[in-house]
Amino acid sequence: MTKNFLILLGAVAVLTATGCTQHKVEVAPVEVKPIHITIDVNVKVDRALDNFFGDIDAAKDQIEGSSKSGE
Amino acid sequence: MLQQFGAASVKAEGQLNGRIPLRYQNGQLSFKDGFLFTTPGESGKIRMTDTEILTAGIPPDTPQHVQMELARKALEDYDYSWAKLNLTTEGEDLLLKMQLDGKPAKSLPFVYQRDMGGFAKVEADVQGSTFQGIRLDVNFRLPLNKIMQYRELIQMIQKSRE
Repeated sequence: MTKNFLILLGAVAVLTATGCTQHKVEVAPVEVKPIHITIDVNVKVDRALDNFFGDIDAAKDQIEGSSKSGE
Repeated sequence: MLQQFGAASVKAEGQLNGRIPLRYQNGQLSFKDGFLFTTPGESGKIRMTDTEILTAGIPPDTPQHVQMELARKALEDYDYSWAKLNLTTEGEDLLLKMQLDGKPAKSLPFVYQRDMGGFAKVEADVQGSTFQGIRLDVNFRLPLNKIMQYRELIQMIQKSRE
Protein backbone atom coordinates (compact mmCIF):
# COMPACT_ATOMS: atom_id res chain seq x y z
CA MET A 1 0.00 0.00 0.00
CA THR A 2 2.81 2.36 0.99
CA LYS A 3 4.72 1.34 -2.15
CA ASN A 4 1.72 2.15 -4.39
CA PHE A 5 1.26 5.44 -2.63
CA LEU A 6 4.92 6.32 -3.19
CA ILE A 7 4.65 5.44 -6.92
CA LEU A 8 1.54 7.62 -7.22
CA LEU A 9 3.26 10.44 -5.36
CA GLY A 10 6.29 10.15 -7.67
CA ALA A 11 4.07 10.27 -10.78
CA VAL A 12 2.27 13.34 -9.46
CA ALA A 13 5.61 14.98 -8.70
CA VAL A 14 6.88 14.25 -12.24
CA LEU A 15 3.71 15.64 -13.83
CA THR A 16 3.87 18.73 -11.62
CA ALA A 17 7.52 19.26 -12.52
CA THR A 18 6.69 18.90 -16.24
CA GLY A 19 4.05 21.56 -15.83
CA CYS A 20 6.56 23.89 -14.25
CA THR A 21 9.11 23.59 -17.06
CA GLN A 22 6.85 25.05 -19.72
CA HIS A 23 8.55 28.13 -21.09
CA LYS A 24 7.28 30.78 -23.43
CA VAL A 25 10.01 32.35 -25.52
CA GLU A 26 9.24 35.56 -27.36
CA VAL A 27 11.87 36.97 -29.70
CA ALA A 28 11.44 40.69 -30.17
CA PRO A 29 13.81 42.80 -32.29
CA VAL A 30 16.37 44.75 -30.32
CA GLU A 31 15.44 48.40 -29.95
CA VAL A 32 18.25 50.83 -30.71
CA LYS A 33 18.09 54.32 -29.24
CA PRO A 34 18.22 57.33 -31.60
CA ILE A 35 21.55 57.68 -33.39
CA HIS A 36 23.14 60.39 -35.51
CA ILE A 37 25.12 59.60 -38.66
CA THR A 38 27.15 62.17 -40.60
CA ILE A 39 28.41 61.28 -44.06
CA ASP A 40 30.75 63.36 -46.21
CA VAL A 41 30.80 62.45 -49.90
CA ASN A 42 33.40 64.06 -52.14
CA VAL A 43 32.90 63.31 -55.81
CA LYS A 44 35.90 63.89 -58.08
CA VAL A 45 36.07 63.48 -61.81
CA ASP A 46 39.08 61.41 -62.71
CA ARG A 47 41.89 63.21 -64.53
CA ALA A 48 42.14 60.33 -67.02
CA LEU A 49 38.48 60.87 -67.90
CA ASP A 50 39.26 64.58 -68.34
CA ASN A 51 42.00 63.70 -70.81
CA PHE A 52 39.77 61.18 -72.58
CA PHE A 53 37.09 63.77 -73.23
CA GLY A 54 39.79 66.39 -73.85
CA ASP A 55 40.69 64.49 -77.04
CA ILE A 56 37.07 64.61 -78.17
CA ASP A 57 36.84 68.33 -77.36
CA ALA A 58 40.08 69.01 -79.28
CA ALA A 59 38.77 67.06 -82.29
CA LYS A 60 35.48 68.97 -82.10
CA ASP A 61 37.33 72.33 -82.00
CA GLN A 62 39.45 71.24 -84.97
CA ILE A 63 36.37 70.30 -87.02
CA GLU A 64 34.60 73.56 -86.11
CA GLY A 65 37.77 75.54 -86.92
CA SER A 66 38.23 73.92 -90.32
CA SER A 67 34.54 74.33 -91.23
CA LYS A 68 34.73 78.06 -90.35
CA SER A 69 37.86 78.58 -92.41
CA GLY A 70 36.17 76.78 -95.33
CA GLU A 71 33.22 79.20 -95.23
CA MET B 1 17.78 66.73 -57.52
CA LEU B 2 20.16 64.01 -56.31
CA GLN B 3 19.02 61.93 -59.26
CA GLN B 4 19.89 64.76 -61.67
CA PHE B 5 23.37 64.97 -60.18
CA GLY B 6 23.86 61.22 -60.59
CA ALA B 7 24.20 60.71 -56.84
CA ALA B 8 21.19 58.43 -56.24
CA SER B 9 17.72 57.40 -57.38
CA VAL B 10 15.13 58.97 -55.13
CA LYS B 11 11.39 58.59 -54.64
CA ALA B 12 9.81 60.78 -51.98
CA GLU B 13 6.41 61.74 -50.71
CA GLY B 14 5.83 65.10 -49.10
CA GLN B 15 6.07 68.82 -49.73
CA LEU B 16 9.21 70.92 -49.97
CA ASN B 17 9.39 74.67 -49.53
CA GLY B 18 12.25 77.04 -50.11
CA ARG B 19 14.30 79.04 -52.56
CA ILE B 20 17.08 78.08 -54.94
CA PRO B 21 18.83 81.10 -56.50
CA LEU B 22 20.47 79.89 -59.71
CA ARG B 23 23.05 81.61 -61.85
CA TYR B 24 24.04 80.57 -65.35
CA GLN B 25 27.04 82.42 -66.67
CA ASN B 26 29.55 81.45 -69.36
CA GLY B 27 28.04 78.00 -69.52
CA GLN B 28 28.56 77.48 -65.81
CA LEU B 29 25.71 76.81 -63.39
CA SER B 30 26.01 77.98 -59.79
CA PHE B 31 23.81 78.10 -56.70
CA LYS B 32 23.87 80.71 -53.97
CA ASP B 33 22.56 79.71 -50.54
CA GLY B 34 19.66 77.68 -51.86
CA PHE B 35 17.52 75.84 -49.38
CA LEU B 36 14.54 73.52 -49.27
CA PHE B 37 12.72 72.23 -46.21
CA THR B 38 9.70 70.09 -45.53
CA THR B 39 6.52 71.68 -44.22
CA PRO B 40 6.75 71.81 -40.41
CA GLY B 41 4.57 69.19 -38.78
CA GLU B 42 4.20 67.17 -41.98
CA SER B 43 6.14 63.95 -42.11
CA GLY B 44 6.75 61.88 -45.21
CA LYS B 45 8.59 59.04 -46.84
CA ILE B 46 11.85 58.74 -48.74
CA ARG B 47 13.00 55.77 -50.77
CA MET B 48 16.56 56.14 -51.98
CA THR B 49 18.28 53.52 -54.12
CA ASP B 50 21.44 53.35 -56.26
CA THR B 51 23.34 54.93 -53.39
CA GLU B 52 26.62 53.10 -54.11
CA ILE B 53 28.25 56.55 -54.13
CA LEU B 54 28.04 56.49 -50.31
CA THR B 55 30.27 53.43 -49.97
CA ALA B 56 32.50 54.09 -53.00
CA GLY B 57 36.15 54.07 -52.04
CA ILE B 58 35.61 52.76 -48.52
CA PRO B 59 37.33 49.40 -47.94
CA PRO B 60 34.81 46.65 -47.16
CA ASP B 61 34.94 44.97 -43.72
CA THR B 62 35.75 48.26 -42.03
CA PRO B 63 33.52 49.90 -39.38
CA GLN B 64 33.09 52.93 -41.68
CA HIS B 65 31.81 50.71 -44.49
CA VAL B 66 29.29 49.03 -42.15
CA GLN B 67 28.09 52.44 -40.96
CA MET B 68 27.57 53.59 -44.55
CA GLU B 69 25.76 50.33 -45.33
CA LEU B 70 23.49 51.04 -42.37
CA ALA B 71 22.74 54.53 -43.67
CA ARG B 72 22.09 53.16 -47.17
CA LYS B 73 19.72 50.50 -45.82
CA ALA B 74 17.92 53.10 -43.71
CA LEU B 75 17.42 55.36 -46.74
CA GLU B 76 15.90 52.55 -48.81
CA ASP B 77 12.66 53.00 -46.82
CA TYR B 78 12.82 55.96 -44.46
CA ASP B 79 10.03 57.79 -42.66
CA TYR B 80 11.14 61.37 -42.06
CA SER B 81 9.72 63.79 -39.53
CA TRP B 82 11.57 66.67 -41.20
CA ALA B 83 14.12 67.18 -43.98
CA LYS B 84 16.31 70.08 -45.07
CA LEU B 85 18.45 70.59 -48.13
CA ASN B 86 21.03 73.34 -48.60
CA LEU B 87 22.71 74.07 -51.92
CA THR B 88 25.55 76.41 -52.54
CA THR B 89 28.43 76.63 -54.98
CA GLU B 90 31.97 76.84 -53.68
CA GLY B 91 34.58 77.32 -56.38
CA GLU B 92 33.86 74.67 -59.00
CA ASP B 93 31.99 72.43 -56.58
CA LEU B 94 28.38 72.25 -55.56
CA LEU B 95 27.96 71.68 -51.82
CA LEU B 96 24.75 69.83 -51.17
CA LYS B 97 23.91 69.37 -47.51
CA MET B 98 21.05 67.01 -46.78
CA GLN B 99 19.66 66.73 -43.26
CA LEU B 100 17.06 64.16 -42.39
CA ASP B 101 15.41 63.30 -39.11
CA GLY B 102 13.24 60.22 -38.81
CA LYS B 103 13.55 56.48 -38.67
CA PRO B 104 13.67 53.46 -40.98
CA ALA B 105 10.24 52.07 -41.79
CA LYS B 106 11.39 48.52 -41.04
CA SER B 107 13.95 46.88 -38.78
CA LEU B 108 17.43 46.80 -40.30
CA PRO B 109 19.80 43.80 -40.50
CA PHE B 110 22.33 45.34 -38.10
CA VAL B 111 23.06 44.80 -34.41
CA TYR B 112 25.06 46.91 -32.02
CA GLN B 113 28.22 45.20 -30.76
CA ARG B 114 29.43 46.65 -27.53
CA ASP B 115 32.94 45.18 -27.80
CA MET B 116 33.67 46.90 -31.12
CA GLY B 117 31.63 49.99 -30.29
CA GLY B 118 29.67 49.92 -33.53
CA PHE B 119 27.15 48.11 -35.65
CA ALA B 120 27.67 44.80 -37.39
CA LYS B 121 25.66 43.38 -40.26
CA VAL B 122 23.73 40.20 -39.51
CA GLU B 123 22.81 37.28 -41.76
CA ALA B 124 19.45 37.28 -43.51
CA ASP B 125 17.92 34.70 -41.13
CA VAL B 126 18.98 36.60 -37.98
CA GLN B 127 16.68 39.28 -36.64
CA GLY B 128 18.16 42.77 -36.83
CA SER B 129 17.36 45.88 -34.81
CA THR B 130 14.51 48.34 -34.67
CA PHE B 131 15.90 51.86 -34.75
CA GLN B 132 13.93 54.36 -32.70
CA GLY B 133 15.42 57.17 -34.74
CA ILE B 134 18.23 57.91 -37.18
CA ARG B 135 19.30 61.49 -37.79
CA LEU B 136 21.24 61.65 -41.05
CA ASP B 137 23.50 64.43 -42.28
CA VAL B 138 24.84 63.79 -45.77
CA ASN B 139 27.25 66.37 -47.20
CA PHE B 140 27.90 66.01 -50.92
CA ARG B 141 30.66 67.89 -52.73
CA LEU B 142 30.08 67.51 -56.46
CA PRO B 143 31.89 69.00 -59.46
CA LEU B 144 28.47 69.88 -60.87
CA ASN B 145 29.46 71.50 -64.15
CA LYS B 146 31.85 68.70 -65.04
CA ILE B 147 29.22 66.08 -64.24
CA MET B 148 26.66 67.87 -66.41
CA GLN B 149 29.19 68.31 -69.20
CA TYR B 150 30.06 64.61 -69.22
CA ARG B 151 26.42 63.58 -68.94
CA GLU B 152 25.68 65.64 -72.05
CA LEU B 153 28.60 64.05 -73.89
CA ILE B 154 27.57 60.55 -72.85
CA GLN B 155 23.98 61.24 -73.93
CA MET B 156 25.25 62.56 -77.27
CA ILE B 157 27.32 59.39 -77.77
CA GLN B 158 24.34 57.22 -76.82
CA LYS B 159 22.02 59.08 -79.23
CA SER B 160 24.52 58.84 -82.08
CA ARG B 161 24.60 55.05 -81.60
CA GLU B 162 20.80 54.73 -81.75
